[in-house]
Amino acid sequence: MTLSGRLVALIAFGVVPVVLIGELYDRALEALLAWIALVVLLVVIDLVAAASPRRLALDRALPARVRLGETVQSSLYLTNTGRRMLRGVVRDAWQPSAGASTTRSSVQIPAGERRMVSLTLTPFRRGERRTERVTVRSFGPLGLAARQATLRSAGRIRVLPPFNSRKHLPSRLARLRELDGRTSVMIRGQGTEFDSLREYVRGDDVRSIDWRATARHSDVMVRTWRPERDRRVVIVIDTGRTQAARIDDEPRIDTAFESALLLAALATRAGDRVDLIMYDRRLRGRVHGASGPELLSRMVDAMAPVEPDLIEMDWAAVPGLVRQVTTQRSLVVLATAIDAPGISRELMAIVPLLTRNHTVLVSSVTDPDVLAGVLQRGDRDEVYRAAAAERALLDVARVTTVLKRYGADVVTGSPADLPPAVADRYLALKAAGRL
Amino acid sequence: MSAAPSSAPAAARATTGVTDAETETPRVRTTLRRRLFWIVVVVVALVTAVVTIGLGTSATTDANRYSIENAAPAGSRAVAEVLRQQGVDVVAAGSLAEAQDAVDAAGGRVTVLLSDPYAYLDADHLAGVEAFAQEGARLVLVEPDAVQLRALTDGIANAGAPGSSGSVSSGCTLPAAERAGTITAPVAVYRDLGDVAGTAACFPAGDDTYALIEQPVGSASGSVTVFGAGDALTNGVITDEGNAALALGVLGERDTLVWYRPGPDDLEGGAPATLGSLTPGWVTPVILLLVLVVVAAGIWRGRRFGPVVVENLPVTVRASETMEGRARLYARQSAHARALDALRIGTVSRLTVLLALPRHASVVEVSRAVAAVTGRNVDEVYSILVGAMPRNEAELLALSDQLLVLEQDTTRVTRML
Repeated sequence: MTLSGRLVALIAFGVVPVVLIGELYDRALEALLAWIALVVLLVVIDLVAAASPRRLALDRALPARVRLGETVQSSLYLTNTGRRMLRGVVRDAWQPSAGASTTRSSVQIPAGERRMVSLTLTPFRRGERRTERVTVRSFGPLGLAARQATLRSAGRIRVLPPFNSRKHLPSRLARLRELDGRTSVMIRGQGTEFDSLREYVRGDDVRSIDWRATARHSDVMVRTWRPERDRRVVIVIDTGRTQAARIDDEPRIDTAFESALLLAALATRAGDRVDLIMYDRRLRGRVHGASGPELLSRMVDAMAPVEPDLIEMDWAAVPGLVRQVTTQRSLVVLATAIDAPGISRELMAIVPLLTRNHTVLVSSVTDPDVLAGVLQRGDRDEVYRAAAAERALLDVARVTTVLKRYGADVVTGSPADLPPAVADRYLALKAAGRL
Repeated sequence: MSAAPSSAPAAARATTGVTDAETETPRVRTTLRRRLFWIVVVVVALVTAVVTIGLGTSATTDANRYSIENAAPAGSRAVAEVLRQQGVDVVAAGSLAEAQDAVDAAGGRVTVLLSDPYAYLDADHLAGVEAFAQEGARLVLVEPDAVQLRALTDGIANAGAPGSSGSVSSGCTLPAAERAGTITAPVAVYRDLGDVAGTAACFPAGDDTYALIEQPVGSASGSVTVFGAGDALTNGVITDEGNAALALGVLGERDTLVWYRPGPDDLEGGAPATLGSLTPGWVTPVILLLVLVVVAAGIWRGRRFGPVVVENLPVTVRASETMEGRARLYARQSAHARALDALRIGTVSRLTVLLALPRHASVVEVSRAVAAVTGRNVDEVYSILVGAMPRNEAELLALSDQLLVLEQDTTRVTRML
């Protein structure tokens, strides 16, 4: 049960009769009691006449997924199975980060009819956003008091990573097509495969003229090349505690997701097969054997509910995981954080195991704050801060040096720069035929 | 390129036809049954409180001397209660009008006790009191002052306090006094200077003074009694000696006793207006009403619209926190040597890259190369890069600035090359 503002106003209005009767007949106390009795009577009438909120049947229509930052419509159908008209307010209790436009809406449902309450959701956090309950407040005909009940009606929506870095995709695809021999700019290298012969056109590299074929034909023939296809890319995303740190107001893990998505989009277009492993001490998500648009949709689906756990990453298990995916030579991308040598010791220990069979690329986010801190040396505190920043960079440099010595490739960048940098490194490896 | 269907078909439509079973809010009777224990506890507590308060208020007293509501030693409740048990109708009067009403109601055949230690009564009022005696009432003046004596008696005068503090004996033929025998020391004594026939003076205290003097008034059965032994009426000493007998004898002669203690109402123009008497009668009800309004508004605004929604939020860790923490540690320890080391290592490694030197080039080689490029003195460059040791923070700041300048110079020159 609850009361309305109208009831408060009604009680307050009692001042008029109390004062009037008090002035005229000196019976203020009796007037007060009579007024209270009247108000109580009205409230009881209103409560009795209000439709029961328990007699509502609920039904939901919700899209299953939404990409972070986009807006969807959530519809809640309310069927009044009672015999009285229900006037009231309905609250659909979405979690705050579901970004519901409004959680309360007023409804009027005649007996036996159905009404839809729709609200827009603009989630501002990745993962699974839920609503568990619907609370209905049913007012009586006078609008003084209401009956209230909370009904169970679960709804959920999966909020996918935003994939903001897809804006970099067209330019990278163009570069990929250049590699592919579809344009006149030919590239020659160790890793390219022979594609076909065609007639020489002006502008072609004379070094790619195939003299034997030219001798057989009456025209000058050139060889065309294309990069290797059907290579494997294994992306391993660290979901341990270091990935929870926020850089530029974005957790490291989100940057890792962006890089992985851009790389996967690019690699699947290039004809490579992409596998995703998200791991800390247990397998948090895995995408295996998908390609094309299905790959990306399965990847975002797997990524959506994953939040970094506050536990240490178990690197020792990673070579085993990669071996489970493929024994073929492949590009293994480790999306993690390169920190002080002490913290990264386990990573450094397993990289040689991986580089023995695979090409290894370690991607890590660097903090722009640290880079900026190095150059700020205005006062005492800033100088110490610059020293600490230099120390942090030095730590990263030492780990990077070790990783490179073990044969791994290291890509670092700020959260905005890292995804295209990883994609570029992939293209470079592909162009060099190192896949 | 679409990574995922951003708005998937409404495949995930969860149908939940809700009936009573899935309602979370318990029904009213369930709630009542569940909370029965506490409801009973609250009701019992309220009843106890009301009963206690009711008993407490009935025991509240009036702390004035000679007040028949006062059960303290200075009050006179005992004598009033005993008189009531003996069938005397004891009426308290706080003003002349009330006394007049009581006297009229009893038909004039009453005893009127007057105790006016603060002299509220003026001449007019005293004339009104005298009228009681003229019409046949017995008037008992408890410790009257000179003004009252002059107005109400004929020739009786104040004689101050008694000479000794011993008890006094009756020494007269007045029945009430004879029955009492002796009484405790009176508060005030009086002298009879008039010559009204039938005047009886009792309880002599020496020097021709008496504690009780009674003289007839008017033609009817009226009389006036000057009563100096006021203590005899108080709860504290009424049981001593013959006090009780005297009090009952003097006050219990008639069926009605008007216990008149003048108050502010007897003053010229009545009592001063109090806040309560100036306030209109509807103010208290309106205040009660406003309290109700506040309570209702509290329920209106405070009633929760369903349970609170819980959501697990991710931890927020800023990545640069370790750097900031280390910086503060350096600053607290004033570790200028260590801080400068870090700055120098950073600068040297960047210079190595800038000048395209091998990665393991020594500082001497780097300083030579820098000196060659920027045209500075080798020793000076070496001193900035590794030689100089800062002795205090001012030197640390200076060296840090020099490192920056050196790096900027080198960068500029190498760009031009």
